[in-house]
Amino acid sequence: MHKIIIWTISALLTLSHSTAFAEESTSTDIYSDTQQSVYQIRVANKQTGNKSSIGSGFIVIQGDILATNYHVVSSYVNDPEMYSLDYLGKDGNEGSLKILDLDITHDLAVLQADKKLGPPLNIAGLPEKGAKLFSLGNPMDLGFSIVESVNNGIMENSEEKNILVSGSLNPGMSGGPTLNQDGEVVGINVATSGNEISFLVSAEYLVKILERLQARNFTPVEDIFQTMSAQLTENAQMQIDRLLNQRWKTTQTGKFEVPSQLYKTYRCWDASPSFRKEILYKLTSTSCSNQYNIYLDNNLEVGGIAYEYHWIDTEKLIPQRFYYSAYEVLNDSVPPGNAGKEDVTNFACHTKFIKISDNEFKATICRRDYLAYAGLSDVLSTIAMVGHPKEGFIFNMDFVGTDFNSAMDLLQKMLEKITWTE
Amino acid sequence: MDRIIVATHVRGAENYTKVDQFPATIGRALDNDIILSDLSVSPHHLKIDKTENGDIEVTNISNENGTTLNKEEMAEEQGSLISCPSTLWLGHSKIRLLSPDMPVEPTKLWACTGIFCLLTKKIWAFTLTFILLGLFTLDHYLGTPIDKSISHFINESFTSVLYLIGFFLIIAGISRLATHRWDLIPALSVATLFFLIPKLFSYSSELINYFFSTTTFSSISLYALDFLLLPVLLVLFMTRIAHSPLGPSIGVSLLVSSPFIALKAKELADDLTRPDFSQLPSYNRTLSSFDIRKDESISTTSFLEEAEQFLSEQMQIELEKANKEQRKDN
Repeated sequence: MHKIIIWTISALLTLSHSTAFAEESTSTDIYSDTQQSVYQIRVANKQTGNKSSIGSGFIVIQGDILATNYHVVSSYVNDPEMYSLDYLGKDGNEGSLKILDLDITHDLAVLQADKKLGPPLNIAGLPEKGAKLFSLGNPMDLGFSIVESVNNGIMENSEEKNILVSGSLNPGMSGGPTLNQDGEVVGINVATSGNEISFLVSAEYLVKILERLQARNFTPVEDIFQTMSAQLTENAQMQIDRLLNQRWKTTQTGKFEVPSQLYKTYRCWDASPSFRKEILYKLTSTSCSNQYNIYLDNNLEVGGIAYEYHWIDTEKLIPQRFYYSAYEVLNDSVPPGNAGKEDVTNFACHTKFIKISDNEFKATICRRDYLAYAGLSDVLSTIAMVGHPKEGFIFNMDFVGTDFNSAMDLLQKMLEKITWTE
Repeated sequence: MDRIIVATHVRGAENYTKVDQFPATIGRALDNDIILSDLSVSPHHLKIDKTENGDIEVTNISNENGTTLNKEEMAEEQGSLISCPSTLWLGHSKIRLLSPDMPVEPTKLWACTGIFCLLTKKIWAFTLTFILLGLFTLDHYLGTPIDKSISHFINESFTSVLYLIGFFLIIAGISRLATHRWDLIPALSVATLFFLIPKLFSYSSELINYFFSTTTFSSISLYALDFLLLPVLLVLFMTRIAHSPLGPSIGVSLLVSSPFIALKAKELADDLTRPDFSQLPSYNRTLSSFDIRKDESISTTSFLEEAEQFLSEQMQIELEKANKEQRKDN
């Protein structure tokens, strides 16, 4: 067995060595061809001049236009009084940048420099899976670097629709370009999960921003927050509309039939606690979410939709003990994320008793709004069955940074689909 | 008047001295008829005499720390005829001159009626205590969904029992100070009530909160209970059971409750000064298998419509509030 592994590893090593050798000229070419087009993007404290965060950016469409990730420039957008936004070239060329336009849902920003900086890179479609790609950037402020990676295609089962690549992106490379073998941009470096798993934003979204900009002659957006709010609201509506038009799968939770995976981007997990003999009730929990996080700020991410079902029953507990020690404890909806006083309002809640599938439920919907992003709300809902002495059922659904009316439409359909099956 | 009773107050206890030999003197010196060991009293402070008409006359024979008769200052060597009852202050010592015929109200301590009287009865005191101990155990039993024997839950409530004993000793101590007796049975009743009332209150407020689907009832009334329960119970204990006068009873009960009230006041101050932002939503989470409530169930659609309208209105208010606050910060 050992022998085979060793052989396998040595075979791989040989393979990668020979491949690297075969591609060496391409790598070198790309390095020399593109280094004039890739810049470090820095957000610095105006008072001290010290860097607060760094990322990468690259020239597109014309010599003074740079593309990067929104998360690279977000602290500048959120506090332009405190921070400045600058570029720094490999040759020490530096100057200031301003924001022209962005796509908050795909983590992209397009910036304009104070002068022409270099040749723009061309944009191309994604090559076939398995194709070699080259990611450029300035990892950890160590200097201009190139990372070879392999294209694994667009992740169709995720909300972001990012490109998955096998390669090691590192902090500081965010916003840098990933190129095909012809030196054309196919994606923008955005995130990594370690172990050679990295993600790119597809360049097609960048093309959309550039087309928009070209149409209005590269004038900057009037109000960045208004633009972001509109994009986020539209995205939330689109996300929910898509769910409403789906045929949902259902699953059995206790005596209820409930919607399970609403769409291919949703993942459902069993969250039931492990069985212990001395515990006098039985709890079955299912937890689903779209695993979607749109970056807005250091402590602010939106886009997440999560829902969970708890079915709890007992044979040995008397009703008071069952409700007090086990069932009521589950009736607790905690908002995800870390939004603070400067981000959101307080929650307001509405509680009523409703009838679902001939059973009585205590239903609560809570909402809070974002202060800087008009039209965006967090919505928490919790619906708990009452009146059964030995059985309980709770359905929670949380929306982070959503369009309130769309969320209510989705809730309506969810509640309609919950049916008592006994 | 052939006789007069002089009531003096020494170390919290009332002393009554019958005077039927006149003149009689009151002062700190040992040759007085009534001796008051108070530094503010002169060696020879007051003389009590009977006139030819049989009236009682008091004469201030002190020029040191002042003498007042029914709140009027008496000059040195000033004599005044008095009627009973009269109150005099010799320096810092209060004395009262009383007539032996003064009527005294019956207290009917053992034949009393009403709820406070019940508290002095052993059977009620022990019944209340057993109910409380039962509730301590029941709380642990209801709060634990794990298969355990009843002795486990009794053990669990041991800390609460220690609190009860501590409290019982404090109240018994107060009765010892106030009445010079150990009123143990009433003290046990009052200590039990101090724990029992909030408990019954929290059970009922949960039912009320569920009934109205609200959180306001319990929070407002809990504050009232926090601040008022202990002093009110102590005042009732001292006036109704120990038969102390109202004024001193309020004083003692405030003194004893002050650490608790200070603690609660600090919590209240913390609550009031806490920034009015919370990351958590506030709504009534109580669930009930009995499901006794005011409102009938409504349809899902009406609920969502109601919520949509109500929450949109609330958000307008919240946003205005937040904007106002931001302007203030800037």
